[in-house]
Formats: sequence, structure tokens, C-alpha cells
Amino acid sequence: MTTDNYWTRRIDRRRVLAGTGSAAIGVGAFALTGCGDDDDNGGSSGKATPTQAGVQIGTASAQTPTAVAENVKKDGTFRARQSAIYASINPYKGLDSGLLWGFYIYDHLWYTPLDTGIRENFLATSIEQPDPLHFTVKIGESFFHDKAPINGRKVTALDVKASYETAAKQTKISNSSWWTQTLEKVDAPDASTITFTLKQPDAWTFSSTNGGSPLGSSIIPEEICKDVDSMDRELIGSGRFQFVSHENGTNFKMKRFDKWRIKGEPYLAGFETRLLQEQAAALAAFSAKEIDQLDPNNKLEREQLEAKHGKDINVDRFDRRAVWQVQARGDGQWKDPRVIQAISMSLDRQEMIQLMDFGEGKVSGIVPPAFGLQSLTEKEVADTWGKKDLAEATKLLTAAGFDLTKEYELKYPVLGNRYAQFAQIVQSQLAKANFKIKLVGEDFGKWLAQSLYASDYSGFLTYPSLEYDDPSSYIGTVGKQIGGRPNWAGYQNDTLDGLLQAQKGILDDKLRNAAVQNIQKKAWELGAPFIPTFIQIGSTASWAYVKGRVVGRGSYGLFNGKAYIDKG
Amino acid sequence: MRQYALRRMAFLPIIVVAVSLITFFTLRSPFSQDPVDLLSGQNTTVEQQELMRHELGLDKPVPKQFVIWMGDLARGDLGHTFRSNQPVWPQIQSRLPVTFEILLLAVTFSTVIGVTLGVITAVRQNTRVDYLFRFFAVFGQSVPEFFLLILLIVLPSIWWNYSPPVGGHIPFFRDPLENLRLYLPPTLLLGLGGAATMMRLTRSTLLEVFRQDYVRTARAKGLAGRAVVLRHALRNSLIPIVTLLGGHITALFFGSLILEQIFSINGLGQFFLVSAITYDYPVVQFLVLYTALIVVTMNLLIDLSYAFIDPRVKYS
Amino acid sequence: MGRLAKQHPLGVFGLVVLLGFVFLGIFGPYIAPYDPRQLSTGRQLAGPSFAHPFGTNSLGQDIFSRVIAGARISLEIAGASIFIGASVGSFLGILAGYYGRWVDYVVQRSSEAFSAFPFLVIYFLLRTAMGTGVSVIIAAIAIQALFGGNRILRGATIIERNAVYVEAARATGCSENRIFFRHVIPNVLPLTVVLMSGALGGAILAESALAFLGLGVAGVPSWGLDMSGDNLAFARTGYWHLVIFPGLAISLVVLAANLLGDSLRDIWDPRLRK
Repeated sequence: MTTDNYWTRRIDRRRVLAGTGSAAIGVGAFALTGCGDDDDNGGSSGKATPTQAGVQIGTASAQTPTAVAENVKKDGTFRARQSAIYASINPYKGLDSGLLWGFYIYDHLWYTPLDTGIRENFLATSIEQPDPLHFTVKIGESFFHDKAPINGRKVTALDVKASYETAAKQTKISNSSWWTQTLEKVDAPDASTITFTLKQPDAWTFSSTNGGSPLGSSIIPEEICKDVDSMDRELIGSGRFQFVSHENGTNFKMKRFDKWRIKGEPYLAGFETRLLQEQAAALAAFSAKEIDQLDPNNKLEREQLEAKHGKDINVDRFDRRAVWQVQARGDGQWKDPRVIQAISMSLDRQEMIQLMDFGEGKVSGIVPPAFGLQSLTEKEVADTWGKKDLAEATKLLTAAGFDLTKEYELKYPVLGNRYAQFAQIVQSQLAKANFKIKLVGEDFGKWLAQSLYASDYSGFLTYPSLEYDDPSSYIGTVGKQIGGRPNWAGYQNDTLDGLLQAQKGILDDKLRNAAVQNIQKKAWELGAPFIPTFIQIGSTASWAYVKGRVVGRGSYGLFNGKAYIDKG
Repeated sequence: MRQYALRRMAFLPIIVVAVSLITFFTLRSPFSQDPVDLLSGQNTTVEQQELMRHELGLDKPVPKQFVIWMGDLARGDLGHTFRSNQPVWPQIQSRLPVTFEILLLAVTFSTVIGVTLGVITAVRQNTRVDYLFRFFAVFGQSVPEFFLLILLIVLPSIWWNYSPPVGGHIPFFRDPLENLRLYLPPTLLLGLGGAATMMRLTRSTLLEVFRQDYVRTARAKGLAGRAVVLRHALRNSLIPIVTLLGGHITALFFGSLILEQIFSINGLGQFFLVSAITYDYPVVQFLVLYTALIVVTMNLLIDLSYAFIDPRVKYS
Repeated sequence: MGRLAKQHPLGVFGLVVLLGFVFLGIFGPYIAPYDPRQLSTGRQLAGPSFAHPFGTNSLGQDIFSRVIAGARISLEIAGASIFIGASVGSFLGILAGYYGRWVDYVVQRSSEAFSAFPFLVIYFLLRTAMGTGVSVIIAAIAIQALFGGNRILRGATIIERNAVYVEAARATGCSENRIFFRHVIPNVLPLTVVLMSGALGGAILAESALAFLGLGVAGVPSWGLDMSGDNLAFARTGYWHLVIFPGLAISLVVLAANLLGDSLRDIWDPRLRK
């Protein structure tokens, strides 16, 4: 189930508002955001094919990193953008650091890329699942970084056991509720075998928000798990980079780990981040080659970079997985499905895409188009969540007896321009259906804790969802509970909740994917109040000397060890 | 003189206590948000929240919290940050050089440029030079600092593909050139507003001094014009300049935050900002107290410096 | 009036410009050619033209109209905070100067204590305690103005108190209250106006800087906010008109306030000329 903390997921997929004066503050506050932006960030990436400007549609075609050219340069340092200051380097105290280190410093048992949805083994050499409640993992040989007090010893099953147990206990970072509600126990019968026992079947156990979360499944030495605070000062993992230094949570330096379990990797000698809070400053730094990669915020920035640097840069484009959504209420007069349908039909998604992203976006159902296996087809979306019909909307509202004389609040977090812009667009579009809406910009912390989690709003909340690798995470909002709390919109629907619980028990992938699609259609019929609107087509610009990029594989690309710098 | 200084010093602890009281109880006003809210995730239970509240010491009555804080402070323990549970002082200490350098450079630019131009315009009163610089000074006081600073990010990049160095603070003594490449341009702009004020003050004070008898006497005694200015007038106009300097430095705390933000430098300003909007009480409390101490001490030094600048000033 | 314009042309210029902005602040919605919030897909990021003198932003909103609309929040915050701060500050200063003794001591010492809080510190403190909002920004700026002004008023009041005519009034049997209200107050009050106009520019700058940092008032057109974030990035991409015009508006209104302040000081109190 999709349940981690809103912001865990948010950073998880990193496409947090790129730093603006205001954004950086709000985000910095929660110490969000990693280096670079989206998951296809950071010199991770294996696909050498320059899919220049080729939009990755739906499930990406890029599979495993391609074979690498002979003349690989193995001494480059990749410099990525960091758009906010981290509160702590301790992965258990900052969500941002937890994820960043999860991708670079720590190793994992497995990871599930978004394009195939099929789990791939990392440290695990085999995973056996005799029944839905048990699975056994065998691990291969690998070593921790050579730092006291671990001094480069071998990774054992006990370390894995300790890591899962410790992660499950953390309160400051919330992992998904899989950790508390599904995971029963972890045992280590011998040095290379780990057995997991679950309380209930969950077909999404291996997804990147649950047992394969880059945050929670990071393998940390057993000794360190007993002294979590020691990670305030030093980080010891068994991943392909080892931690070198930082400047108060900024400008991180990592260097290649020579005893990394994949021989000869990573090609990069180092990975560093550069704090650049303002997007304008980041653009300037990219053009001046002070950083190697940057996500343009929109079409204009991308085109300007292309015009300015031409063949000197590569631009990868891909469907973002943050769905901009309008969250209405799900109780009282809003319970009538006609009300939610009317609101959805009043929204002009093409106008949103034009105003927010200069036309580069796609109308989205609950599961964004990037997940070709689980999202609705374009036609299905057009018949349901993508429908626009103002006259019909007005009719439905009247039929439902919805009170349009009252003024409703639309609350958004004050976190940079995009949030405010989206709120404003929604306000102006709903005004055409005779809604009276008052915009309320709230301090991020207050918005999150009170308005979102505690359902303290009278009309609407607007925000982008997080970017998951895991399709199931998007549908969790139709449940009676989201995480440990009652539905944020106060929406309690037995049918949908039943369907949601049921799909977790479907172990057959095809059937389960169909169930996920079905839930999206049913959510439309039954008027689930989390209304999806659109996704942005994003892009990443890298200097041409960055070789071996991977695109279209979601966060999986961040584990790529075959990226390198070739400045000729 | 000594007695005056001692009396002012004796007043310091009272200010410290007053500032601490105001800060501590303002932060915990009934309107403020619960810091635990911001530390909680979506799955955090009420029991876990209670536990966090207990760990942070927020479950005790506020007056008791104050006593505990004061006691810790007296022992030199500044506590741990709420967000990351790290000792407060090293967090501040490591960011001090950044903010210190920004303040130092900006104040130096303000003073050097301001006083120099002030002297020039005063000596050349009502000439073209005078009008020109006064014109610029009026503008210098009116343009927002952040406006100048963002132009520094935007324009050189458009024109020459230039970006300010990125990668954070470089200690001056490790690499003076890189350090100055980062700090000089923005602090120069940051200092301009202050320079404008300083110039106008210097000019008007000098003009006033010129009209006074002893300058006329000095002139009459045949000293050259320039010597008069330097030996007598400037010395006498130092007091208002030094007074202004105090206020200027205080105002620059804000300027420093803006600079840190635009140029992505991780200094004290940003730390303060982030701590304030995440309700990180231990940091905010101490930073308020710390700035207060600095400002009060600075004001005291400025007052005392009057006696050195002008021997006629007597404190009783 | 004509004579005044001749003697203080810059001051009159400042007054006219400032009044112009106040007018825009009050009647902006009726004057502006477009609704500053109106979205339009047809005219995103258009450069300055006859129809849109300052161009449009990424949402197709008319920047000229937004600059006009931005005057309101800027002047509202700056005006309110300076008015509150300077009047209370002046009143305390006058009390301290006139009555001396313990009143003076209390006001002086608390003023000293408050001078230990730079603006930023006051703002952060209030923000942490009270959350965001117009009133917090106003309060923070007002507190600065409050303790900046009372010393000057105190000094001026002491001079008035000891003036010959006050001695004369006392000798003729005027009551202290009568002297205070009929003689002292009217004589030092103009200084309050001087103080206010002098501090106005700084208050506008402070408000716009907060807005630029994203700490301002959410949801209303604001000069500082319109120069930050995405708009700043657009400026870097070549759409300079997005940030230049709001920036010029701030500069112009602050310039006007400063010029007016200088002239008022010259007129009412040549001694304070700096």
C-alpha cells in the first residue's frame, strides 16, 4: 500500500520544485531534495544511446545498461546539482540524505525498475518465495567501506537483518506502512541467508516504496545499527561510492569504492554535489560547466540550452510521474459521485499544460502514463478523469444539489511558484463552473501537518503527487486509511477500499495490473476525491562528455555504475 | 570613563536575561505551531509524538523548560537541534566564517567607498563631481539589494556564460583567490547601499565641520586645504560615521541572508531561516541571544570609541 | 506651493510619485488595463508591446497590471508598520524626554534592549511564534521603527522642555499638562512626520526583500515575489522584462520616499540635516 510519508515519497522521486527563493526555503526546511532532480539524475545511467529529445513514452524501452565502449575513462568526477541544504547527513534523520545515500553509498538486496516492474537482484543472488508469507534471500559476497570501526569487513546476513529491523523502528523518517503493518520479522539462519516473514500477503512487497525502498532497505553494518547517532558524523556502507566529506549538509563529496561487488565499477572516480538553490543560478552554473547535468524546469529553459549549446549537450526527455492533483473533500455533500465528476469535468487540463509547461505535458489518470502496464489508456482517461464538459458539470452540480453559494477554501503550500500557479489555475477554471474559491497559501509545515494529514480544509487542496517507481502507490488514496491515518479527504468507500485491499493479494502480475486499472475506473464512477489532472514531460540536460547515461528506468538509473566523464 | 564602561558592562547580563526571557516565551506562545508536528511523518502515532515531545523536553511546563535551558546555558551546553539532533554550537561555529566574511567585506566596501566619496564631494562641494556622486548616492539607497544581486547572477551568464563559483565556502587562508572570486563581487554590491548612506553622512558632517571656527582658524593659520580636511575635520566627523556603522552592520544581517540565498552559500543566515521556519527552538533561541550579545557589545564598543575619537567626550 | 517646488524640487517630485503609488495602491484594480490574475494561454511571456507595455509573464498575466497591483501590498505593509512604529515610538520618546526620571529610564533601557534585535531576528522570532501573515511582517518592521525613532523625539522634547517660552509659560502658571499638550507636542510633532517619511523607504525595501525570499504574503501580486524563483529563471533565459519592471517599481517608490524624507527633514529640522 502506498503509505509512506508524503514527503518521503516526494523526495523519493525528487522532482521537488526546483529551487526558487521560496521553494528552497520550504524545501530546505524539510531538507528535501537531492542533487539534480528527477530519478534519472546524477550521472547514473548506463544507456549510452543518445535518445536525444526522444520522449520516453509509457514503459521505457531502455533495458539494462548497454555494453560500454572500449575507451572508457575511469577517472572523472561527476558534479550534480543539489537544490536544498540537508538538515543532517544521517540517513535516519533526513529523508533527503536517506535517499541520496541509499542510491550511492548503500547497497540493497534488490531493486524494482519502473519500466519492467520486475525485481532485479542486487546483493541478493536468489530470492525464493515458497508461499505468500515467506521468502528467503541468499546474498553474494561484498564488503563494507574501509573505515573504523568496520574496517572493510564482509557483509553478512546479520547486517541485513539489523538494517531492516532498525529501519522499521525509525519514527523520524517514515517508511511505508509495509514496514510496520506487513513485515513480521527478519531472520538470518546463516551468514548468507536471510528469511523474511510477513503478517499478510502483499504482492507489492518488493516494490521500491516497500521492502525494496532505497531508504529502508539500505544495508548498514550491524554495529552502526546499534549506534544510529554515529551516522551524524560518518557513513559506512557497502555501495559503489564511499562518503568523503560535506559542508554542513551541502556540497557532498563521494569517491569510488574500489572493492565494490561489481568488479571494475563504478567508472566514475567521484560523485559530488553543488548547492544551487536558485534555478537561475543553476542554469548559469550549467552553462559555465560548473555542473555536469541539470533538469530544465520547462520547455523554454530546455530550448534555450539547446540553442545555446547545440551538440555540446544531450537532452533526455521523459514523462514525469508527479501527477498534479486537485483534492476535493470526500465527505458530506461531496460524497455524491456527481460532485467529484463535475469538478473534474470543469478542469481544463490542456490549459493547465499550456500555462504550467508551455504545452509539454500529458493528461493523466490516477496512475500516470509512465506506467504503461498499469495506467489507463489515453482513450480510457479521456472517457473518465480526462473528460472536460462544463455544461455537463453544471448540470451534475445542480442535480446533486451542491451548495455553490458558499465560498470554499483552496489551500496550497507556499513552496515556490508552481504550487501557487497551479492553485490559481484551478481557481480560475472552477470559477467557470460557478465555484467561489478563496486561495489560501500556507506555510509548508502547517499545510502538511494540519491541512493535508489532518484534513483541515473546507474545499480543496492542490499539489503534485510524488514520483514513485511503484504504480500501486498512486491508488492508495482511495482507501479508507492512507498510511496510519484516516483518508485525508475524509473519503470512506467500502467498495473501493475492498478493491484496494484485494489487489494486494493478487500475485499474478497481469491480473493485478488489471485490478489497478479497474480501481482507477471505479474511482471515477464512485467519485473518489483525489482528482488527477496532468503530468509534465520533463527533461535532463547533460554535457556531451557525460557518457553512459540511463533513461526511462526510473530511480533504477541512479544505481548505474557505468556512467563516466569523457572530456576528450 | 572606566566607571562608565564598567556600568555599561554590568548592564550586559540584564540585557541577556531580558532577551532570553522574551525569546523563550515568545517562541512558546499559544499561537506557535507544535514542533513535533513538523517532525512527524504520516504514520507517526500519537504515542510516538508524545515520546518525541518528551525527548525534546517539550512536555514540561514552560517556566521549567526555561530554567532548564538557562541552567544548561550556564554550563555551556547549548542543547541539540530538533531537526537533526546535533549539538547546536558546532553547527553555528562552522557557518560563522561565511557570514563573518560577508559582513566584513560588505562593511569594508561601504566604509571605504562611502567615506572616500564623502570627502571628495565635500571638498568639491557644488561641482559636477559632487552632483554626480550625490545623484548616484540617492539611487544607491533606493535600489533593493536583492535586485542588484540577481542581476549579478543573470547578466554575466547571458553575456559571457559566466557563473559565480559553485561548491560552497572556500576558507580564505586555503585559497584566497577562489575565496575572493566567490565573495568579492556580491559583497561589493551588498555594500553599495551602505556606501551611499555613508557618503551622504560624511559629506554633510564634513560640511558642517568646515563651517566651524577651529577649522577656519586652522585655515587662517595657513595650513593647506587638504591637511585641514584630514587632520581636523575628518577626525571630528568620525563620531556620526562610527554610529552609523553600528546600525549598518546590524542591518547587514538581512543582506547577508539574501546574499547567501541567491549565491547558495550555506551561512548563518540560511541556518537561522531554516531553523525558524521549522520551529527548531534550541537553534532559534541561541541565535537570537547570540546576535543580541554581538549587537549590544558592538554598540558598547562604539560608545566607548567616542572617547578615543574625540577627547572632549567625557562619560560620567 | 510653487515656492516649495522651487526650493525643494526633488522633495515635491518624491511626494508626487509617492502619492501616485498610493493612488495606484488604492484604485489599482480600477485603473489597471487587465486583471492582474487573469490567465491567458494566448500570450505567455510576450515582450513589452503597445497592448502590454511591460509584457506578460508565463501565465500570460499582464505585468503592467501586476506592477500596479503590487503597489497595494507593498504600501499597505510599509505604511501601516511605519505609522504604528513611528507614532508609538514618538510618543514614548516625547514622554521620556518630557517627564524624565523613571519614565525616561524605562524607555531608554527597553529601547537599548530592543536595539539588540536586528530586523531579521525580530521577524524570525515573531514568525516562529505567530506563523505567517501580514500582521507579523507589519509588527516586525514596526518594532524596528519604534525604537529607531524615540531617541530623536526624546532629544527634541528635552530641548523644548527647557526652552525659554516653556519656562515663561510655567512662570505664568500654566499647568504641566497644558504645557505638554499645547506647547511641547505641537512643536515636536512635525519631527514624527519627518521620521515616518525617512523610514518609509527602508520599510518598503524590507517588505520586498521578504517577499523575494518567499517569506512575504502569499496569494497577492507582489513586486518582490514576482522577481523570484521561476520568473528569475525566465530572466536568465532572456525574458528580462519579468524582473526588471517590478524591480524598477520598487526602486522608484523607495527613491520617492527617500527624496521626500530628505526634503521634509530640511524643511522642519535643519539641525537634523545629514
